[in-house]
Amino acid sequence: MQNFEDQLLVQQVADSKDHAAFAVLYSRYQKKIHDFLLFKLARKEDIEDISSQIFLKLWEYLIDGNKRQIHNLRAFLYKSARNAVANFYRAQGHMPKPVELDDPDEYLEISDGREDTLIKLLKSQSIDELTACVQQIPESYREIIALRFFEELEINEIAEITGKTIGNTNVLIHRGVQSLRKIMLPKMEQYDNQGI
Amino acid sequence: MTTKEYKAITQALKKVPHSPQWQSTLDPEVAERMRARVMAFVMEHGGQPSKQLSFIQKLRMNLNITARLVPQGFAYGLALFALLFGSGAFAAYAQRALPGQTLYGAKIALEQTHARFVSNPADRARVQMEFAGRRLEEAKAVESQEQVTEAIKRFSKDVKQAKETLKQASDPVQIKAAQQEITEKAQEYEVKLAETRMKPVREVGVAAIPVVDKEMQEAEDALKEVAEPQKIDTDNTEEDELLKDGEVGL
Repeated sequence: MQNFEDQLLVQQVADSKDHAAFAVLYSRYQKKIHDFLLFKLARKEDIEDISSQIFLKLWEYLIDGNKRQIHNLRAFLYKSARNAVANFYRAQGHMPKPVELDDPDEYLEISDGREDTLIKLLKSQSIDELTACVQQIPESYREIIALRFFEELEINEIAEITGKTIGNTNVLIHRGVQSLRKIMLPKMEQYDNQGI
Repeated sequence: MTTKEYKAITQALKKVPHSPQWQSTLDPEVAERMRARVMAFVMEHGGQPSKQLSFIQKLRMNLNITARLVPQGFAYGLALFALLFGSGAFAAYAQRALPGQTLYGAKIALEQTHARFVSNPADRARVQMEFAGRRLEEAKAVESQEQVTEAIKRFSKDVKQAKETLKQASDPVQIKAAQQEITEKAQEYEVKLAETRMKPVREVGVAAIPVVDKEMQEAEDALKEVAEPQKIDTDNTEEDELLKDGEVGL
């Protein structure tokens, strides 16, 4: 339904350059895109600048009759944000490290018997402590975790945004969760030692 | 990592965006400044005020978007549903049509189709007689001479058809029951027809006049004819005769 409403607004912008329809779209996604950029960029000024650029490009895209139609505006905006960040880093001579996906079955591990400890730890931990752990996982995983669990996007949307297959997206999400668990290991040991 | 651990972590992760550390740092003033910048760009690059869309434009836009978003296989199903639903809605709408209106022909055609689907002739005759009653209601509802004449003509036709259909029936019990019902209807319609005859109608360039013409006479004749009991040929006629003579005992 959200996508249908988006599409109505997109159509109004594309057909009659309706600025009020565009303003509605902007209000709907400004904060979401800004929050997503928080994962990727450190400086507030860069976030504001890139966030605005994304919407300016969206306007130009929509009023250009020769461009392909947008089927999912939400995915389109996150993808634009991702590309804008990549361009930003590239301009600064920094190339993000690609994630290797050689062994998609790697995550199928056997339990080390700590699942109860982890569950208890998660229950007892404050959100802030978990947030601190999330901020320590590699950026490529953090992005995908953010899209899946914070922005609550569908797997196929994330796959579209990141340019990966649905299978690879699932692997990346799993690995992201796994790296989070690794970061939490010392806390789990501490938790065990305290005998809580 | 086990499935249980995975689920526990993913559940916990959903709470992270609500943590104070992760709360959006977008200052309302900054947000407003960014918005002003974007909207100024939009206005400089061809932004137009909103237009009031007509019903057709809105419909076309909705259909285009639906066609774009819905998978093709599903779209065929949807189209079939729309066709079935649409034809149902059309039939319902056509039911209200009166003589002289565009959908009146469709209404008559739908009724004839309905009658064709009734396989038993006795039942079909009852249905046709029922439809004849609708023609009288229509004659009552319309105002012009032309419309009343059309309704009465169709009334006569329906009554005659009912009579002919009943002739096709072979089961004496069914014929008898149908004939009785049709005769009762014919008596009822006779009264209504007399009321219609007295109904003042408008005619172009003429003041209101009562309907007196050959169509009314024809309708009255058709009613008399249909009310007459039909001759029933039964297989046990010979047996009845024998019983009268006392040749066959029980």
